[in-house]
Amino acid sequence: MIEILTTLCLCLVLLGMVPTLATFAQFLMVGLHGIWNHYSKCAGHTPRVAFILPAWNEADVLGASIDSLMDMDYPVGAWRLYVVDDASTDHTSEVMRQKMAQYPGAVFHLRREKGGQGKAHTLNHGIREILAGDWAEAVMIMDADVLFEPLTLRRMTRHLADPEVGGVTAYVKEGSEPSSLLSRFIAFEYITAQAAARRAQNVAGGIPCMAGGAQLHTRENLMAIGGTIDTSTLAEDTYTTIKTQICGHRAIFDPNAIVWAEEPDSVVALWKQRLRWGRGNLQITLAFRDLWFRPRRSSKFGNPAFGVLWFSIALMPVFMILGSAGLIGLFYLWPSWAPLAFSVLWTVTFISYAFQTLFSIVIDPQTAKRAWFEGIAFPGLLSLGVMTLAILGLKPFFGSGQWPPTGGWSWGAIGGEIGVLIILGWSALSTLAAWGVYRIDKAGAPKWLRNILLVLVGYGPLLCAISMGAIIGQLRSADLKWDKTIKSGKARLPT
Amino acid sequence: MKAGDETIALSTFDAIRAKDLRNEKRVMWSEVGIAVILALLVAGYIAWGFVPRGYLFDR
Repeated sequence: MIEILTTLCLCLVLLGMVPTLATFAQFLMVGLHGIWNHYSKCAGHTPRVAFILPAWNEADVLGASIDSLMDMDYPVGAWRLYVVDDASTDHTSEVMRQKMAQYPGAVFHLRREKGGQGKAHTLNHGIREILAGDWAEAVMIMDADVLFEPLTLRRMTRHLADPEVGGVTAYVKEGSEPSSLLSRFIAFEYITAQAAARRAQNVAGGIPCMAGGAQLHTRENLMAIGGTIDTSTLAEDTYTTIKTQICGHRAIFDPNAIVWAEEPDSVVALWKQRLRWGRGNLQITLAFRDLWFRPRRSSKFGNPAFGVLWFSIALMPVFMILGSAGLIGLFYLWPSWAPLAFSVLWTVTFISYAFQTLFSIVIDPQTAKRAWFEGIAFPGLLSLGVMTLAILGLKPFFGSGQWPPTGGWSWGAIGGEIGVLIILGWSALSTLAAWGVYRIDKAGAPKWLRNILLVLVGYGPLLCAISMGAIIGQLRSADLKWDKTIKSGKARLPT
Repeated sequence: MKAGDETIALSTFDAIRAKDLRNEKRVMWSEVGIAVILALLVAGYIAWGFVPRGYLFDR
């Protein structure tokens, strides 16, 4: 019986390594984008593009976004902006009157009198209007706070010269000025999650999400996916992306097409935004349940590697908890194996972290210049301490490199059983600690205290905690409500 | 994509594409460099584990 339980614990430890190994493998594919990319099929192609900008009380950011579009290097008259006003109650109408007078024939105001149903419904109002006419050859879905660099649209539309391509997305960078610790964490996260991961996804041939802040579709593709954006999930951009590829079109990420956006500046706001994304992704997991691990249904998403990557991210906290449970189980069942399993798990984590951090710095040196510290502190200083312990073979705390024997309960010494359990369970406990940081921020703690705790506990564990919140929310079938992230117009284009 | 389809000056398009391709090559070779350095460090770390205790410093 003990043998079976011990084997089970070892399997749990291996399961705990799945997200680390999956993201590491994905990172190893990034460089191949230098060989396998879509640039050879690009051409100087400038179709007529209709931008759709859904706006609900976005008057503070709308003006800057419209002005940034006017600076685009794209043929005059070959693009239009449709601002879909979701029954705003602020001075959006006034801003739009000014902008329509300033840019006649380029900016249009579509107003919904009954709003509040969410982004997808607002987008659909605009898409219906645009598809009713025959002017638009492509449709760009964007967010109100997104700022386009002058060449971004050209860089995106060049991919549409390939008739196989249905959608293109850009690299969304965090552009808040002045920046904060949290905005720099997000900036670094976007290097790993977009600039790196989506290059690898281009290589693999399937992209799970074209960013909703800059999602370009051909007219044909929009018609093929039904002419509307799905309203049944909270992650309409992911749904549209998967649907595009299921309908036989390619989705492309262009890492050199850059837009800038403002991201949340408090843990509470980040939690709200990411909880919506997390629950949306779980809804999509169910909505496309016929695809995962079934290559015959869809060669891209049915691919086992893609499935492992999708689930290891969507269910990351579950893997973390399983890994910790496995280590603790080993400590009691087969004590001599626990230090080895611990060292292997955290050493692999360290190697993956070191590779991803160094590589991310090189991928986007402009962002890394201001967010290098956040890149290093991404997993949290406490987790880095645990990694150090693993690499050095436990010797800094336990001279012989062995755990203290079980049954030696002590709160006083780090070498006591409580200390051992905390270290073994850290990947799960860090998620709990990150939830504590959220609660402290929600309780109105000073920013300096929140920042210190965030650096100690880590931004990665915070994302894990939010994923856990999303899983629990889905399991409890908690109310689903479209909750907009408030933007204040802090994003700036680099000068 | 028929009507309204303009073709930008080939030189502009080629210049942008050449710049982006250079960036992709830079990313690729950077990855190779970082992977080699890390692999050497990991190999050194593993090899260190096989050195008999006291062999290097206690003689």
